[in-house]
Amino acid sequence: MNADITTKIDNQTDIALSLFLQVPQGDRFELKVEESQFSFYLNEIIVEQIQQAQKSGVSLYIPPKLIIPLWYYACFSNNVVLGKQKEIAEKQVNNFFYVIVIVNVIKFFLSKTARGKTSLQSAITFNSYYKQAELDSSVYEDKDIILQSTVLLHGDIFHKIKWNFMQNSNCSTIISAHYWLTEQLLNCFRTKLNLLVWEVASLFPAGFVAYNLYRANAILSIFAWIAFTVLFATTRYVLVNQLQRRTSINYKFIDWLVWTLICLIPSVVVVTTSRFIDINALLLPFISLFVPKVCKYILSFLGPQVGKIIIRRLL
Amino acid sequence: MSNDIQSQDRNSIQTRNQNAAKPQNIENKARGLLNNLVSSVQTLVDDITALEVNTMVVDRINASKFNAWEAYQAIYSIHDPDYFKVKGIPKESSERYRSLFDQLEREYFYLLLEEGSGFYNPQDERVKRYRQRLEDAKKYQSNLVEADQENVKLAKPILPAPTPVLDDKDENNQDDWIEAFKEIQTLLDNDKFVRTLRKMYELKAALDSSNVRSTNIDIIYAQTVMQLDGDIITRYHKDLFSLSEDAKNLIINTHNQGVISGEKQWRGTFSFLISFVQSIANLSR
Repeated sequence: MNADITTKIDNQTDIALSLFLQVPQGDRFELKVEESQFSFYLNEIIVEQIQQAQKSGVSLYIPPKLIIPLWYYACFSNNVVLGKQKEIAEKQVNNFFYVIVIVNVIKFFLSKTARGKTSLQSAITFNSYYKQAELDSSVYEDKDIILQSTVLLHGDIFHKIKWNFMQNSNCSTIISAHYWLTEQLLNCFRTKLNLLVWEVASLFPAGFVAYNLYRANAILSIFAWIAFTVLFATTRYVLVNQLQRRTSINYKFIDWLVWTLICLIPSVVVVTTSRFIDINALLLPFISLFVPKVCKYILSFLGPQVGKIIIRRLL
Repeated sequence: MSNDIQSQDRNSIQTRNQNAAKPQNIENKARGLLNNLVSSVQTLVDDITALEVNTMVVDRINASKFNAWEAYQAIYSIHDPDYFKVKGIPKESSERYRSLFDQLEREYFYLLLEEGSGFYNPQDERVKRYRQRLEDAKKYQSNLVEADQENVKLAKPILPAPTPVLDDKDENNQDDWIEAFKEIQTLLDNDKFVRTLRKMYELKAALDSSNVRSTNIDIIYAQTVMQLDGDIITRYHKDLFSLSEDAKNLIINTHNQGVISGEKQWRGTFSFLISFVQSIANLSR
């Protein structure tokens, strides 16, 4: 009976985000986000690797797209009383989850029917599912939740442990892995979003190459510039992802390592084609190295300005 | 089937409410939302006095999401005299359940008395009824401690019923239902009330997740309360010491880790909210 009501009353878009997080120097495990619930799907190997990571003090890389739902769910809640009632047969895992969350936020501000009062999300819940063997997350059931931490913002924290699970010889390791993961996840509240920094920075080496290749035709060089920017930005993105997956380098260094590579490629191209003075080719990598720093400053200056304009229009 | 009717009822009420509300413009809406957010954080800051970390051992954990309406219904139904019989909950533990309902009711009662809470009404029949019943109780029970907060349950039931319930007084009580429904809606907008509701719901979920039919449902094995003025108190359940050495150590270790990590988690989230509100304030300056 209760379940029946839940599906009817649920007026939030009932979708879940599923993504894989990479244990430093280890495998990937799945994380599911459903409203304010975060579920970790763990197994013996992952827990071991997490223990290693804990010992060596490396931190977990949290993709920026996870930060948006985290922020959203920490700030807003719909204490559902009434709403558009949707019948949802099955929860779908959606890759565009964070886009939907953003759309939800916008809809939330714009919709005329939204209730006048919004309150803070009253809690964030973390569930850890555990199975000995490495399995797909769909195999995990509710009974595999072995730990649950509920953080109520007004100052109550509940840690639940499953009784049967305490017989597990690995128990204390899994428990500390669970705590470690929740801490890592919540740490990303503190990270500043550096959106677009690398993309904007890619304009620079791209412009350099385009300028040297098609100087004759202005329109062509603009097109080439855009094309190279897109190319560099995507290459950077793909490389960073691959390196994170395959190597154990700290993610802070990966960004710069890849950036250096990106800057080197155009200078190699420039040297081999040697259509202009070589000094340029040497200058390029050095100048480009500082571009992201500059971009960061410019963007961190521009961001609040844009925010100010939006907020002032609204208020 | 009954649910269907119920939801239809709600739907019709909802449409009525919507029609009544004049269309607001977007700017007002957004302004309202931001103001609400800021004031929520403010009440949060005002009300926090302690951080409480509980470690529980339960038979099963479920991943159900919190839904204020459903939670309200779940807590309210405890008040029903047949509740324990239907659920097969033994007498020993029924008190635990009932205390959850009582706490929620107290929260509501204080809202009725608190000026500016939006529910304040000195002429409220329920407050009068409470007074009356307290007087009656005093007559029969000479050693009654009047100021005991437990007495609030004398005013029972003061919480509005979430589902249409039959009233003995009049046959056509549809208006009452609609009235109660509206009241719950505003009630669930009240931060303080929802906060208590949420906590009661978590505790009820924990109680439910053990074997409800057994008498042994004490599941909070360790609890640490950190007062903001610096006092830290840790309590352990006496059953903890009758467990095997390994289990005992495990629970104590888990609790200690949980306190450290929980404090970090909570502080992280909290400081994020504060800085979020700060940045909104900075932007709108």
